[in-house]
Amino acid sequence: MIKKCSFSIKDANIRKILRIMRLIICFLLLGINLSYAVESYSQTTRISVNLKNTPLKEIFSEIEKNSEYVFFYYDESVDLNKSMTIDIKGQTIDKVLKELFKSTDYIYTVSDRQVFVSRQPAPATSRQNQNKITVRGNITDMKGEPLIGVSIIVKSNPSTGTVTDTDGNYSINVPDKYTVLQYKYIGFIPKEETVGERKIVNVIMQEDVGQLDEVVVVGYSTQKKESVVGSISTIEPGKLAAGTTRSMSNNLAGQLAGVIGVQRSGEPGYDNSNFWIRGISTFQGNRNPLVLIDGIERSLNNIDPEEIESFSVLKDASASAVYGVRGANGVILINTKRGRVGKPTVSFKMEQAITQPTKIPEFVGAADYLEVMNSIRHESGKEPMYSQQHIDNIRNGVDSDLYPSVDWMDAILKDFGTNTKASIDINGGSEVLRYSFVGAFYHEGGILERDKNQGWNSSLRLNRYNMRSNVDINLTPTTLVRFNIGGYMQERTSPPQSIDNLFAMAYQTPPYQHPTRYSTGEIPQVPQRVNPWALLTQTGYERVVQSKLESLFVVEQDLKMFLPGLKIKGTFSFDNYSDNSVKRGKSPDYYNPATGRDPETGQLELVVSSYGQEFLDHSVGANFGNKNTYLEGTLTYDNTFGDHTVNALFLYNQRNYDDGGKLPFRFQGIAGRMSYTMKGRYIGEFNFGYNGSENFAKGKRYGFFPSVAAGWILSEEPFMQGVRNTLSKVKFRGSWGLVGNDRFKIGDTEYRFPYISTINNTDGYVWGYNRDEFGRAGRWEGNIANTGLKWETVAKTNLGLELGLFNAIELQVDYFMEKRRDIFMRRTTMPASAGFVDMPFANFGKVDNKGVDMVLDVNKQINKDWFVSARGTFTYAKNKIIEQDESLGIIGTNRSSTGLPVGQIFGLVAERLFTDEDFADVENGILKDDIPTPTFTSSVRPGDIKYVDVNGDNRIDALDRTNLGGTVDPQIVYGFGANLRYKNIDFGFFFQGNGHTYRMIGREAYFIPGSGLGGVGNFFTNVGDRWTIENPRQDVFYPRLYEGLNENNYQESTWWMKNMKMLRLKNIELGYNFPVTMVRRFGSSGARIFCRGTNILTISDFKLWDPEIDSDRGSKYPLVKSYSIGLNISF
Amino acid sequence: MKKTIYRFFYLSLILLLAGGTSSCSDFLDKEPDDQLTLDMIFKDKTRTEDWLAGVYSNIPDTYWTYARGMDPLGDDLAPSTGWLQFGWNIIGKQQGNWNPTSDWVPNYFNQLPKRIRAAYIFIDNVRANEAQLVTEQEVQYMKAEARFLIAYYYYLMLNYYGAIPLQLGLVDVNAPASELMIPQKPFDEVVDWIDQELVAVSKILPPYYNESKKYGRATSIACLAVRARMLLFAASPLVNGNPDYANYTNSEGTSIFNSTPDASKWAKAVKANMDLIELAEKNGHALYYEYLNNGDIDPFLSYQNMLFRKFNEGNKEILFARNPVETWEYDRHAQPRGTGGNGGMGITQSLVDAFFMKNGLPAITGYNANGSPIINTASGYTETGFSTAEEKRDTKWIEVKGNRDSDSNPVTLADTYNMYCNREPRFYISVLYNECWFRRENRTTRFYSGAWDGGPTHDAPQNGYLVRKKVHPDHDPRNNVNPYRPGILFRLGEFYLNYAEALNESEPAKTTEILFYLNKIREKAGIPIYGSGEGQIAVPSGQDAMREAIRRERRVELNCENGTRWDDIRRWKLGEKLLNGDFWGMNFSGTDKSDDKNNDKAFFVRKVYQKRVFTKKNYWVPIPQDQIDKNPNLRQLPFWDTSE
Repeated sequence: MIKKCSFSIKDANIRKILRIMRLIICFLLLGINLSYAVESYSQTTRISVNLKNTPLKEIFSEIEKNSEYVFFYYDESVDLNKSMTIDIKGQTIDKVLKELFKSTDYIYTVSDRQVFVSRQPAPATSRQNQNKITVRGNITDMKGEPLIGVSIIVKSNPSTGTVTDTDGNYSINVPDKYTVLQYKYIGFIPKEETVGERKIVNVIMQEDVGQLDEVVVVGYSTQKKESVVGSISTIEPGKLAAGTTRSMSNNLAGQLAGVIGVQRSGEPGYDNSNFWIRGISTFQGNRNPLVLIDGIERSLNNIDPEEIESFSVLKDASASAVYGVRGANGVILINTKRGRVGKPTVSFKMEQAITQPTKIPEFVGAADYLEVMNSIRHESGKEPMYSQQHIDNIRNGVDSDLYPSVDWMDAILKDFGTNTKASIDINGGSEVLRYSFVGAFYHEGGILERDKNQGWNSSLRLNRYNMRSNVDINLTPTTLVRFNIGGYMQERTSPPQSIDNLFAMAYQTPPYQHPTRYSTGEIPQVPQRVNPWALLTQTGYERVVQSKLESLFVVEQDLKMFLPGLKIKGTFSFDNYSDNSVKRGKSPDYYNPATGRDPETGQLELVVSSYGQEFLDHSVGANFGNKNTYLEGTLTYDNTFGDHTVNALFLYNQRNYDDGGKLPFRFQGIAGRMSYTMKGRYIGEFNFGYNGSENFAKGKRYGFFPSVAAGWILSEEPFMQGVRNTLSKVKFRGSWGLVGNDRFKIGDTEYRFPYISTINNTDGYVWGYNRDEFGRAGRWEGNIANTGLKWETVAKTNLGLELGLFNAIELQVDYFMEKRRDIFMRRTTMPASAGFVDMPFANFGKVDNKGVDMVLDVNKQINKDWFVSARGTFTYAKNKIIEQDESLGIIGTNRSSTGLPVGQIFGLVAERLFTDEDFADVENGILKDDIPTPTFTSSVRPGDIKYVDVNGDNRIDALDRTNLGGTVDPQIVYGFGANLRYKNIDFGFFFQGNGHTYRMIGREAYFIPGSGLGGVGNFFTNVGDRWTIENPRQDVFYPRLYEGLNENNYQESTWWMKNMKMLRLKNIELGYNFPVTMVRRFGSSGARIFCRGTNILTISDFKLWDPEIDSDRGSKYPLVKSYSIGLNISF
Repeated sequence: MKKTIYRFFYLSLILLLAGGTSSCSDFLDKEPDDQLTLDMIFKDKTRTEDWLAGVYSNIPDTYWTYARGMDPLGDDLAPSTGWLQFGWNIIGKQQGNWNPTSDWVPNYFNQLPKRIRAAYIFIDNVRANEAQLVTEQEVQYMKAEARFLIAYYYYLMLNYYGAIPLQLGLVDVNAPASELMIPQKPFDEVVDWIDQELVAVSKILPPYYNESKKYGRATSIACLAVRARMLLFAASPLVNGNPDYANYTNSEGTSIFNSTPDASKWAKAVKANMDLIELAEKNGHALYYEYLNNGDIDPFLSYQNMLFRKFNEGNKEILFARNPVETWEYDRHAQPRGTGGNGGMGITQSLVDAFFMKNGLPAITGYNANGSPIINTASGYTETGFSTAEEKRDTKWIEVKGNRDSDSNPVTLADTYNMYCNREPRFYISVLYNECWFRRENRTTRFYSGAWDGGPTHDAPQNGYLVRKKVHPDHDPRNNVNPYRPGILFRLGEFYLNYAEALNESEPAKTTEILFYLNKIREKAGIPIYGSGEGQIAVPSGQDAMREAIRRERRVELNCENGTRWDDIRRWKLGEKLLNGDFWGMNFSGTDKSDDKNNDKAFFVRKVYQKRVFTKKNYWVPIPQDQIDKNPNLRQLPFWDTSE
């Protein structure tokens, strides 16, 4: 492989390009006559070198340092570490080189300022020359696309080689028919071919899927995969594009080992997943990983997957210590696509889908609803509230204005929505200039209804346009300039209401009260309640436009003239985000539900409840948005000395992030890395970050975050070579280090400058005889300064094993342990009598987090026609609160959450339902003496939930709450899937699942049937699964129903804690690749059509609503499933 | 040449980096230097007043705070039990569903110490500022106001929690646990501290302010009013020799409540109430009256407009008020749903029963074991049948098809249920009953099930009544018409009754003095007074009968005002008797205008709408469990942490 110098390719065209480039640059910069310079430089420049027993490499760099000459060579053919001695003064380059190489078989050519060094052909040259054979050929990938720049080397004589041109063609002279040619190309499995009698050797190279990332993106740079000792998960960006979702975050869970993710809503624009790297390891504060796109802190939610070239998740301290105070929650690195040398390639993708909710809560109709209400009243000895006549009228459809039955979920939802994705990707360039352009369009038509009689369209929909243009220019052979511009605009149109609220209202509105609107046109609404359909369709609409501009400018200079392997890089970036909105609001006149019909006219008896506004008003909202500038300077050094490879990095960066707050957020730091590899199998690495954050008092601002790591590639040991085909890779690695967190969040509020005392606003007061005569806004103490505050630190330990089997299977397992200390929090144990408004801040909490993540990849080309790949990931993370300033009265009791995971669900332990046998007097609700007294209600009845007296005080009260052994956020996330390819047909599927995830449902007052007194709330269709006097079962979903809120049965308890684990068929896809020969006729180099299903199957024990959504009663915009067809075509 | 260019290029790159690093030292030195600090607050008149306003702001809002936190716990106000599902957890509390972990809306235990701390900070920092016309005198007043508020807030805590820690002065944020975790003080010590503090402050503050914009600031009258109300409470049997609390001590083993009755507490209460009455009357306060054209008192408008008329419009009955928080939720919740309201803020049948007849006699004297009323037939009260004609009285009250210019207006229409006929004027100002005329809508109320204002929704009068008291007759939720109403915290009438009660307990023989103030209330209410004269009602004989008369008068006069009834029931130790058991009203699911007990659909039939539970623990609000957990020196109030 060509490693040392990207310009060592001995190809005439490229040399020419280099020369032209040089000319342009010189012309631009100096404005002098280049031809003169070319003529004269090698003749006029005199060089002096005096080095004894110095490796050849250093001699080259010494000459480079003292002149403008640049050396080019294949490292396979030139032994750079061979020590030589030279002592020459004031000679031309020609003389110097002649002297240097006099006792070797190296030859050289000088062309302008470039010196090409290679080895003299073997002594048999003359015979070979006589028998010289010219071999030609074409190299393509498995899809038949030509590969540009593949290197072809004669195995016996590595100095002979060539590369393929832009059509994938090559031509090479070889000594004889026994010659073995080696084909190498980054990202593909190397191949060898014996020439034999062939004049034309065409080669199809197989993509090295498992090893795609031979180069892995790591903090602030890249590393060769084998020398990586940190724990890093990577993924092909294509896998993140699967499905019809807007945000990439929805494809992370299950695809990436180490990422715990959940998608809590499907609402267009708000359907981003929550995700954490290796779970949550703090009970307060910022939990989100640092996301860097092209090295800049940005959001991954609105970048189109098509824009991405690489995606890495840095999980352990070794990988993320360089981010220091920002790295506590792990780091995600995304790099956008860059141009590649070659003729322009254009690929176009398009996908069209229809979408449906994964699961909508199902409610009973009005007649069933009222019957249930009557039966609940009957059981508590009350007469029915609704007459049989009324119920029969509903059932028989008599006068649907007066006896309606409305499924409000159905009333606000359409049968299906739509979804469109399209993108274009143009890529190409030369050695001098490379470009990548990506444009993408995303449209989502939501599933909410609209009223087509209105002149305007309030349906929920979203369009997003993404664009990115990345250009790389080699200003000089050693100077690279990168220039990125990207951004998006997203426009969301919706009813001017909270969609969450809309779903809540559809959930809360009973089916019998009134229709969506009367046949005569009036819109009914129970006073103080809401008509969900009218809320959705009659109140106008709102458009929100969000736009983001992202830029990046990088200058990278190779300093090999000073020291080979040394590079310096400067980066500057600015981003700007804004969002604005326009609201057009109106409201209809609302009428109270009709109480009957006028006996004479038959008209509905209606009375206005509130007056509306018929026209659409107009208001504009604007936000400051945010802007970000970033500056970074990096110095890197990479070099190999025989068996020793050294890799070092030193960096300074600063960031200014302004979100319109009082002051911008500022960050500043330096970071470094030192990596050493011996013999390609022993690896040691040291990283550090030294960061400052303005959040702390002067003198407390800077923190040092070191990490160390070591690796051993067992499979590279000589004694392992015999089993290389079985154990293709065995690598052990381990790391330990510190990272930090300076973002102080408690709940949703981010606190800044906690070393400064603040004054807060509080309730005001009005004096004077008259209303508002003399009012004063209230103020009082805010935060109490704590100048001793510092960042949180996390000590992360990671042990990893990478195992490759049969060159087809790769398994990577990581065990991790994180100890987070000095967690920023408010003290919680100060008594109220002290009168502090806000409790003082402190670095107090401690949380441990440990677990395991693993990924298994299988890639097997079974034969020419069959290719199989499979992938599975598994992540388990469990944390434990070690210290959290818990009240003295709680420590050591069943209510203590110390020692348990963050977010542990607490509640009562439901033992069973009370039975008649528990009572001394059933009628008056008097329990037998040996039964602990329930205190939530003044008395209980058979069918109510009986709880365990956990603290043994013979009373059932809140002091019996205990840990119920689960958290809402899953502790296990996994995924698995496979792809099969047979000739032109491919089929793939991917499942994603999670486990150890629970939810306390029914905490809304209207959840238990009857608790809303029939005035509020719907009944799920499982309402029959309940305890009744006639059928006093224990294995029921609902305990005894009650008209009104039964505080005994409504307590958080194991009765209502449900296991939300699930397995989802995230993606299933069938594709067909048109034969290359066929599409060529249309000028295309490849085309594929496919059909796909996303989220089409969800397996869960929980049936009432989608288990993943963030709701304890199912009233949220559901996740969507989609069925799509798509076309990819490239030119 | 070219070399130089390269060098220049590298140099500039390095310089760029170095430039970044050299600015290191000050890049992060960006402190918010314009933040408001304590020092700036007290250099600035407006901000100083802002701070003081913050301290004032926990003075209870006489409408919403009491409706959500206190009034429904007595037997006056009865918000729709269906509202429990909307966070009205006070309804659960009526039914005994109350634990130390339950939320109690006012949450004074956690909330008031913050205001008290803010008051101490104010006292420590406020200073004169001549440039901004803040005089030394003004500073003295403001400091005294802050002291008043500290005392008032401790009184509120004492009133509801009984056993409280008294944190005087500021606590340092780094104070050791021994200073933070303070135990509760004995009840009488807290009373004495508040008493002395209020007396001291009353000597600094003026009885009134001449500037309109200072109306509502603490006065010497306010100080003595808080003191008078507190000392009446402190003399009452709940906390004066209550045997139930004999073993209740703080963490140091000191008894919280005195275990043997102390008669001198009643004498103190008499004196404190007289101190206030004298000071108030000396400064022009008097009961509020409106008159007919003929010069007679109009009892309807006197009682109604005492609640709405501003102080500067002649309502001198107000001793201390807060401008009500400008929401009209109370009013809206009390308006029939067919008129744009939420229509479920009811009152109990027992309050309806408590009003006198227009002849001044009690209509109902008690209840039988089955909950049926014991009717005082002498009063002329009946619960059967409907009136045959409208009834007119001498009033300018126009709510029942009245005419403002006339001295004689109807108070009930023909065909009104007899229960509501011939009642005393205060009844009509306080109660909105079914088929009562509703002026704003020009119709009668329709509380029948299925009718415009009725059930089965929870936004309907669950027992046939809505509260009318304190709701301005012109309040119109549908059109957002929200007339002004003062938030009266203390009014003179209450102290007349306080005085009468305390005097009857300490010196029952002084019937003349006792009756003097009791009769003033009755005279204003438009019912015959107690006395031996013509048309007067025989003077209750003996201390017990007098006590009964005073309590009955108090119940009616102060109904639905500032949780008074709940406080009274507690301090008289009548909770188990009055607040435990079935609560009654008219038939919510009734559709027929009928009083036929055998008709399921008859509306005008007594029906149980709620079963209430009151046990020994309910005399106090429990200290929040999280505070018990935090401070090991706190002791929960009696019976809250046992199974009794």
